Amino acid sequence: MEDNMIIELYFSRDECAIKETSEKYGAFLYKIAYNILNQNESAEESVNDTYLRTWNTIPPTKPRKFSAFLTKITRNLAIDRFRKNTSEKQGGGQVTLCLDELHECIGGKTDVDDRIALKNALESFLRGLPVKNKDIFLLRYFYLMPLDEIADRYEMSESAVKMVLYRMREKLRGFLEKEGIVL
Amino acid sequence: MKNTEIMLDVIGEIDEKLIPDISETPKKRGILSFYITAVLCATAILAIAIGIPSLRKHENKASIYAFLDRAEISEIVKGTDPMNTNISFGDMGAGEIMAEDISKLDEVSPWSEDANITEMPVLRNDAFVDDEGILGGMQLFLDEEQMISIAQNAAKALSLEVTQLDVAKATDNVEIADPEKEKEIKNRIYSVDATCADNTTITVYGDGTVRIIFEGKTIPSKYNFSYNNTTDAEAAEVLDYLMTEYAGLTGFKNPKAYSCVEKGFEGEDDRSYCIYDSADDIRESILNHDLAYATFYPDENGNLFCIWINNAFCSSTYVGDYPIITVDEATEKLINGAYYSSIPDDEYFKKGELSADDIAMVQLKYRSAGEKYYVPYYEFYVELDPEISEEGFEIPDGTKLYGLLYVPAVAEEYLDVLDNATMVYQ
Repeated sequence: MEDNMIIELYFSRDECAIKETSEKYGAFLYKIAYNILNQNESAEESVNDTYLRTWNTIPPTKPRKFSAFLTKITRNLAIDRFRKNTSEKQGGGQVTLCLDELHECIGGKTDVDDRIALKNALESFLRGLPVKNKDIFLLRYFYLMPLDEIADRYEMSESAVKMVLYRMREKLRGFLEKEGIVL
Repeated sequence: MKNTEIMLDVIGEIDEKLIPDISETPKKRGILSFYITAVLCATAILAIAIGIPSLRKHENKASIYAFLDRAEISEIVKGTDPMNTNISFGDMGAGEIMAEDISKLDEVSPWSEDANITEMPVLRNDAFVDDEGILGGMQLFLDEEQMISIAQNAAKALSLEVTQLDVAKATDNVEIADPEKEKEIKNRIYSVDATCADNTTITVYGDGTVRIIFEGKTIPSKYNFSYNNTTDAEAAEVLDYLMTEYAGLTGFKNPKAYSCVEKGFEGEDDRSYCIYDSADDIRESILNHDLAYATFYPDENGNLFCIWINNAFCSSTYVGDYPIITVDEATEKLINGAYYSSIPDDEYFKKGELSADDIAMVQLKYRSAGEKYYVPYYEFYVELDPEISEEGFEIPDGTKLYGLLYVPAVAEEYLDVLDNATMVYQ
């Protein structure tokens, strides 16, 4: 079913909306959550929470890009669930790895206290990137996709993906320093 | 909360438009190919330097854009996002062209009405940064490294040595009053100038457009290369020569050429010389014809003065395939006044109103004037009243006057029309 038709179901408060969302995007959202949580049950719960959050948000929200809308919810819910988990064994090696990687661009001595400024700066930085670089960066740090999956998607070697990400993190650090966000 | 945790959260809050859609597994083969800007990694540079054909799916190895990853589109997607197709004509004056006859303006597009095309790709121009209209249409996308590579590749294709490189940032070229806008673009590169040993200048702009200016590069004397004293047959011979001589520069695998002749204010010819890469797929041919082509300019001595190379693909993103209306549907919209044009008013039309009888030619065309989206329009050439003229100006004898009127070819439901939900913008 087309996305606009699924959204119409939400607006009509037709519970088939969730069924259609699940059929079209369930597997995809599960994969996103699993990448973060590395556990079936938690990933499934994140996806179910996504459907509930979507039901409660549409309407009045009318997403222009439904897949991206769902993706954001699942991704953020999964990360929240990861944080609540006290056990390091449960949860994404990818989250820990990504946090370590991001330390290179934002791990300064000064705490970031203006999230809006950081978000604006990040969006500005991303818009200035070549599309492929931007996508690789977000596949890693938005989707928390493993490096080998990114490499496979772009038919690159894993080391090439690592180099791309390294260069992007370096550029981002420089960008944020110039913006005065990181000292 | 640690900065890294904050960053992870903030990444999760970014504009959805930035998030790549991975909901469907990309297929490995597609109908059309586009340039997708690639990482300029050490491997690619080395490959070019020593001639290793290492880049995957790489076809135009000789092209100055060779280092860009020419990947197949993984999937043809149906476009859904509405787009703004407003055309800003700026200060270019009335959209009128003079010619002896409409046949002289025929760009020999691969498109024809008989092709029965029902969908065409739309590309987002990633180099468009001037939403507010305060940057003079400046196109900014490629980074310094990429632009230098293009310049160096162009020099190599011309067997020239670069002796000097000059980089101009966006803020070097325009004064921006808006501090937020200035902050946004201040580190972006407007152009890279490469001066060569023989004083040839190669300029690469932020969207990948290249301008090469020679100090009168001679061409064989048997070719009559001029703006105003070259016949159609002679123009074809010149283009044949240019296609071959500069094949390494353009990288076109299957070049095709055309030459149009406008009339100047005193009735003199003003001939253009254009080459593009033809493709088996008609839609790809149309895109190449309109968005990835080379134009050649003579000097007063019949030498080659300048080459412009346009390649919108290296700074654009495929948005999707959108359904397009038919020529008949576009003509109806035209007659009903739903078109874009810089023609001042209806007095310019014959009998004071637009009539279908005055339509001399129509073609499906992507404008490459640096707008936000590369979308197809139906470009109508309408014969105007020859008696109308600006004060002190008369149309030369033997010349017809045509106006250019544009109707978006994309179906109306996908157009981001403005408040009145009409498309009458003149």
